[in-house]
Amino acid sequence: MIHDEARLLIGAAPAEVGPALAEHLAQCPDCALFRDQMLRMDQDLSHLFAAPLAPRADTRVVALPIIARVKAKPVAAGFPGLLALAASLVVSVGLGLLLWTLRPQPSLAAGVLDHIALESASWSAVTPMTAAATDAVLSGAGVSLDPSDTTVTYARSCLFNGHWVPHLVVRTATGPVTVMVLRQEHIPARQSFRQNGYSGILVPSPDGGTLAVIVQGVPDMDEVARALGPHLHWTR
Amino acid sequence: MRNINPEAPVPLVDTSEPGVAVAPLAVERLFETLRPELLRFAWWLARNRAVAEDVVQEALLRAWRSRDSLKDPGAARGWLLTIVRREHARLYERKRLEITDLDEVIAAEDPQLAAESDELVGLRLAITQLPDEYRVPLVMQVLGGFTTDEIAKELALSTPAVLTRLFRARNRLRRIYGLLPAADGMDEPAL
Repeated sequence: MIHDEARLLIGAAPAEVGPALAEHLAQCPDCALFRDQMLRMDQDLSHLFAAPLAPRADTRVVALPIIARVKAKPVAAGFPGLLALAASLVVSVGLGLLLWTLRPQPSLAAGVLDHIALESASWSAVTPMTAAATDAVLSGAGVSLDPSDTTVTYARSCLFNGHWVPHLVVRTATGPVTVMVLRQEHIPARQSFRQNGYSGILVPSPDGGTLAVIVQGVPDMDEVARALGPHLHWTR
Repeated sequence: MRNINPEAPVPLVDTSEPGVAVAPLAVERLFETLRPELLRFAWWLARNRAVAEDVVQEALLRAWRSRDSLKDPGAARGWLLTIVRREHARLYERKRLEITDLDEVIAAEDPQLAAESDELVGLRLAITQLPDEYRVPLVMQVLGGFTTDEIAKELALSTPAVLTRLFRARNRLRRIYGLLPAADGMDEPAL
């Protein structure tokens, strides 16, 4: 290996030493010194690259995605004959559409609770988010919060069923309240649920989406809704 | 890829049916485990916190949509870093991002600078001021753990071209250590 080749390999990847380079290093003090310098610099590079970024309260934060409900794979039809298969398909599709239309909503509530469980630390956040940070998370969600007398301690854009949705924790007189704006989820009417120490309501929004409000414990959800309601505005 | 070491590897495969079903919850946890590293990777590519967060957000959404293609949990880190790198390139091509006052941006975004030695501060600034063509392969190699061959494939370059860029990147950073860049013609190594 010639000297220039050795220098190139050392400068490009100091930690990688093949047989030819090793042989050259044994005979060339300059290249050995150059490699030592490069290795020292790479240690500092690794140190810099590994340093965590400083936390910021005024920017959006990427959060956990939530489980998309697993759809059962269709089972192959067992009827013989093309006509029977087609009839079966038509019936299956029709039945599927009917069931989809009338599908029960507990799965949405369960999905919301799954998500909240994954971000359980959100309840204990106490540092108020800036209005700009909250606005950034709510941007495009069709909802605004009155910034004058609400304290948002958690605001993240979360991946929920394949869509980024705002996930907030608002401090109220009755305690922390989690609010998720699920524009892609549609429910026919308001629903309430209680599970695993949480109580919540799903409220259809004017534009067809859903607002999820969840609290810990078993308080009067109407009271929670009344406490939150005046500060939450649909913007479209 | 070298240094593939997800900090807390999570099985992606449902153990009740080995090698068949991908467990979405495990994917979520894996994403969350790797997210800080993805954000650091994106920051060193973009040198801007807000841009890095946007890049990671879009990258994770893309990854989530194609999560079924991820069969080997050991490959998740490299897979996600690659998606982040491509998303950054895509964003850069779309918006022609420019950072006009880099020193101010860095100082404003990184309170840790005060805790670092002058040498590290200088090195940090020097890295951020490297041209993209040198900084991107360097970050991919040192932070991402990609081999030169993998970088070449990802950046659509020849391996010698990647070696040259990595050499030049490090050679420029030598000044931080009070070392003159290679003056023996190696600043432009002949290939």
